[in-house]
Amino acid sequence: MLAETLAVLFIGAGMSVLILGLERKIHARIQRRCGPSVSMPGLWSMLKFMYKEPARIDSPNPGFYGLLLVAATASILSVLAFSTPPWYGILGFSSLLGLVGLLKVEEVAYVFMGSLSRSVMSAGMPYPDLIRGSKGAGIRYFFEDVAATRALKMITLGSFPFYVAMAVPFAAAKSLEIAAVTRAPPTLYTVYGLLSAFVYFIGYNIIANNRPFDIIKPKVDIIEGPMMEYAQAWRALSYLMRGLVLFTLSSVFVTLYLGIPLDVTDANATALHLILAMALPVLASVLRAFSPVLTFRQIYPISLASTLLGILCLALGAGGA
Amino acid sequence: MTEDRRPVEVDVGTVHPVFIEPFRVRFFVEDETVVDCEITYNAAHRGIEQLLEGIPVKKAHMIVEKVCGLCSHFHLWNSIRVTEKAMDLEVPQRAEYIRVLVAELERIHSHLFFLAHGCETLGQETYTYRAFALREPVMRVLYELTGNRVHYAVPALGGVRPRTDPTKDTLAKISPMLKTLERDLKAFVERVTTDPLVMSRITGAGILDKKTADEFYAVGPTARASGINNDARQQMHEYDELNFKYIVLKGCDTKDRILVRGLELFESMNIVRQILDELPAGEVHIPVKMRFDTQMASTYIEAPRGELFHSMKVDSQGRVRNYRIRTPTPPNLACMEKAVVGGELTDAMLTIISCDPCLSCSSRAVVVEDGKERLMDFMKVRRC
Repeated sequence: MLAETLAVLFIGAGMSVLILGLERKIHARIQRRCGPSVSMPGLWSMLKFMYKEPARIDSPNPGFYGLLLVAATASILSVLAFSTPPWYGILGFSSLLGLVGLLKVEEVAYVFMGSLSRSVMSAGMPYPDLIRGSKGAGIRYFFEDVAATRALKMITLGSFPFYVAMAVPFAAAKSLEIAAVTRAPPTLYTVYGLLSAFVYFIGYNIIANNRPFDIIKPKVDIIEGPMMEYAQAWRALSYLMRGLVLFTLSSVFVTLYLGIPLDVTDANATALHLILAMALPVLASVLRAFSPVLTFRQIYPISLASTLLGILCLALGAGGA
Repeated sequence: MTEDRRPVEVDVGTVHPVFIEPFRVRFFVEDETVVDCEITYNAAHRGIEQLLEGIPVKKAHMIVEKVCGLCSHFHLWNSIRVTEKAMDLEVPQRAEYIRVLVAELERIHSHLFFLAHGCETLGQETYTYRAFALREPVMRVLYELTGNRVHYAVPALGGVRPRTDPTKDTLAKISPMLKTLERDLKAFVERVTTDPLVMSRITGAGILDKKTADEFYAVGPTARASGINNDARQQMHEYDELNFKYIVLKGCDTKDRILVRGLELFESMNIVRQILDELPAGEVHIPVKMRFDTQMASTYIEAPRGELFHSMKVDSQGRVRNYRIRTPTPPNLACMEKAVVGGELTDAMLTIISCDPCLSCSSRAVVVEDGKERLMDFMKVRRC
C-alpha cells in the first residue's frame, strides 16, 4: 500500500507540473505567442524558486503562515490519495463527506493566509497625510485582508456549485462511498450527468481560483492576495499546490463521473485516467485565456444559477432518472 | 468600549502592477463598495517647467517633447505652436498637414495602447495581446515616417523638420496599413462588444454623469463619454479643412469611455486618409525670424487624453519664461475620484484606468512643511 500511495503522490506531483506548463502553453498559443516550454512554468520555475535567497515573510506569525500552505497542500494530496482504491475504507475519508471535509481545509486556509499576510504592496506611506484637504485616516486594510474576506465569501456562496455537482454521482449510486460510485454505471452518460458535469466544471474553476473566478487573488487589484508573501521555497510549494488542485479535482471528476479511479496497479487504467484527467485543466486553460476577472456582481448570479442546476441534477440523480 | 467608526481604507500604490506609475489611491470602502476615494500623485516630480525657465527656445522644445512617451508629438507640437503664436510666425500648409498626420497616427497608437491596458486591467490577457498586435503596424509606419518609434521630433519652428517630409514610397505604405488595421480593428471591437463576460464587467460600472463631468471640467474622451462635446480640435485651425465626427456618447460608464476611444480610432483613420489624398505640395519649412520680448501666449491642443495646455513667453534675450504645461490628467483626476464611488473595489481600478490617466506627465513639485504648501525653487529641484 505504501508503494501504491507513493506512486499516486508521485504521479500527482508530476501531472501538476505538466498542467502548469500546459496551461501557459495553451494561453500563449491562443494569444498567438510561442510561450515558454512546457517544463518551464512548472518544473524549472519551482527549481529556480528553491535556489532563491531566503526572504523574510511579512506576517505577524510567519511560522503559522507557512504551515497553512503545507496544510492546504496536504489536504489536496489527501483528497487525491483517498480517491484511489488502496485508500477506500480507511478512516471513512473515501466518501462524499470525507472529500468535502478535506477540500474545506484548503478553502479555509486562504482565509487564514489572508489574515496573516502583511505585504509591503499595500503597506501605505510611512508618514501621515498632511496635504491640505486630505481625507482623514481610516482603519487600514491590507490587500490580504480584502482577500481573506473574499475567500470567506467564496466558501459561503461561491463553492456551492462544486459540492452540489460532486454529490450527484453519490446520489445516483445511492451511497456515500467512492467505491460504490465507481461500481455504479457512469453518471456522465446520463442527461443529468452531463448537466452536472457542466456545473462541476464551473465549481472546479471556482475552487481552483481559476479565472474568471480568481477574485481572491486578481492581479488587477489585490495582486496575489493571500499568497503574496510566499517567496523562495514557499513560492515553489504554492505553484505545486495550484497544479495539484487542478489535477486532483479533475482526477476526482474522472473517478466519480466515469467510474475510472486512479489505480496504479493497472497500467492501462492509469493511462486512461491520466488522459481523461487532462480534459478539465485544458478546458479551464481555454476558459482562462478568454475570460476577464469577474467580481461578486457576476459571481453571485453564476454561482446561484449553477447551484440551482446542480440541485436539479441531484434530484434527478437521486430519483434515478 | 467605544466602537471605532472610522471607514475602512485600502491603499493602492505607490507601486502597483496594473498601473505602473508613481501614484497612490486611497479607497474608503464599506464591504467592497467604494464610498470615497483620494488620488495622490507627485511621487516622481521631474521639474520640467523649472528646467525650461531661462533656457533658449529651441532647447526648450527638445525638453518639452520628453514630457510624455505616448503623446510626445502633441507636447512638441503644442510647444512649437505656442512659440509660433508668441512670435507671430507662419507655417507652410504642407507642414501643417504633416503635423496633423503624425498627430492622428500617434492618437491611433495611443488609443490602441489604452485598449490594451484596459483589457489588462479587466484581466483579459488575450485581448491585451491582440490590441498590442494591432498597434504594432502603426508604430512601424511612424518609424518609417519619422525615424523614431517614440520621440518623433517632427515639428520645428516654421514647419517640420525636412527629414520628416514623407516620400511617395513612405506615403504609399500608410494606406494598406490603414486598410488592414480597419478590418482587424472592426473584428476586434465586434469581438469585445459581443463578449458577455467583458460587457458585464464594464457596462454600468464607474458612472461619471454629465453634471459631475461638467462640474470638474472633464476633458478628452472622458468628457465625451459623459455626453460633453469637449474637443480642442474644434478650435484648431489645422483641422478646419478636414471632415470627421466628434464621438460623443451618453452612457457615462466605463463601457462608453472605452467605446469612445474605439470609435475615435476610425475617425483618426479617416483624417489620415484625407491627409494622404489632399497633402499639398510645397515647402515643409521656411526660415523664421525669431522675435524676442513677446507677450505671454497660450495654446490648447487635443491630445489623445484630452485638452493639453501650454503657455509661455520669450524674454528680450530669447529665453523661455514662465512656461506652464497642463496635461489632460489633472482635470480628469477629480472626475475619477467621483466615478469610482458606489462601485466595487475591483471595478474601481478599472474605472480609473478607463479615464486613461498619465500621472508622470502631470506631476508638479509641491512641498508640504508644517501644513503649508510651497513650490520648490529651481535650485532645489536640481539638487533632488
